[in-house]
Amino acid sequence: MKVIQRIFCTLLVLYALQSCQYNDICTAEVPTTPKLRIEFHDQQRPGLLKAAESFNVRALGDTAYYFSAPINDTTAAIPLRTDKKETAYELIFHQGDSLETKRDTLIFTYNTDEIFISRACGFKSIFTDFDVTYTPTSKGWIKNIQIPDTTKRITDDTKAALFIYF
Amino acid sequence: MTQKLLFLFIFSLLLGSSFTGSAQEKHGVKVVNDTAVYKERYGLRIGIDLSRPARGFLDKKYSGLELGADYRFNERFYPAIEIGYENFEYDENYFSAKSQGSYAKLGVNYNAYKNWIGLQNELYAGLRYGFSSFSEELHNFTIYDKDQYFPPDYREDSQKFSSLSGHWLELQLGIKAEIMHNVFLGLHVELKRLISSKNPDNFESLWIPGFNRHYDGSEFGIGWGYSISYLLPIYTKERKEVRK
Repeated sequence: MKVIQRIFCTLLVLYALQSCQYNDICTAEVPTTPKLRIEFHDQQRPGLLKAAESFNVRALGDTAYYFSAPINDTTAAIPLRTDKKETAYELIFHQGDSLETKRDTLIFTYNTDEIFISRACGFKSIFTDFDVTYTPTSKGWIKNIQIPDTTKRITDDTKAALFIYF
Repeated sequence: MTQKLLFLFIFSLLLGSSFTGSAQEKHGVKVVNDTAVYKERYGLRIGIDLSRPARGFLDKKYSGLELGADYRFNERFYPAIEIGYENFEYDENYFSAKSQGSYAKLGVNYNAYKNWIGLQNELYAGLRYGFSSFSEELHNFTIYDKDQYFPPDYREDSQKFSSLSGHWLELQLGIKAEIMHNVFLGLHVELKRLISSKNPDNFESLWIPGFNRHYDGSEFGIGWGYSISYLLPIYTKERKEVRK
């Protein structure tokens, strides 16, 4: 009888193990849909990075600004719409500080590719044929823009996909 | 749901008098001159897994069936085969899909239990080679974006992935108890290891019929079964035991 009891216990344990699941969570390290990374450069000295003071962005037609408070950095990453082939953003300089606020509108156009990541994360979008449309205005602050990647693809947001000169 | 089935099985095992040994008389043991002689029945046993239809009844997202057969080759070894089909709808966090197909498992069971004379129960370990041919269908998905600035991008886009396959090795541990003449109830657990699988393009074999859930980063899987089978006796072999 002892053998049977032992085997039966093993069976019950194995049966109980069945309900255990691997931790299927999409962790932060897994690369997902990339954001558009912008690097700010000095127009007078193009190789040099220059911090954009009190910088914020807002999607055209949206009331909410992307950053909860304006940032001061040489780089910024903003999301692109995956459900459309374009995203229009208003880029604001000197938002809410002592200097005059300036705005520019950039329209980003691209194609998307849906790529499967994993069971936990599902699918991500990457961007191809990336392009920018920019019309300079007197109220603007951007002097020049450039897409550094000649392949026009955005697959991750660790390196900059757009240079803004001001 | 599965608790109910397990409890039912334990209960039926207790009901069956086989393990208590009091069934000696009804299994036709003859005692002649201090030697008990029993004609062990050898034959083909055919069975059906009850856990799968039960799950199908309780779980709207699942349907499946498994038939099994084993043949007693000698005192300890029973070559066995299982065939089945499974159809499973699964809802993950960011997509919904369906997997359906058939599978077969071939192998042999080794009965480790030394029966009292007159009984033919089993406590066995089995090895199987399993393979499945199946297809998957992706129903809808939401693009994963860490950001919540734009509303979620939900796509209803049906994509079919066919001619998928999976091959695995399986270890089974189980019990088979004769509850009535030639009728056996069986309960077993399975430990599987995927050897190879043909993955679809831009998707994954996430649920393989016969293998169950295929997790990220692991080639192991588990399963279990609860079956009822009937032995078709073909011949008998005498088993003698001298009473001390």
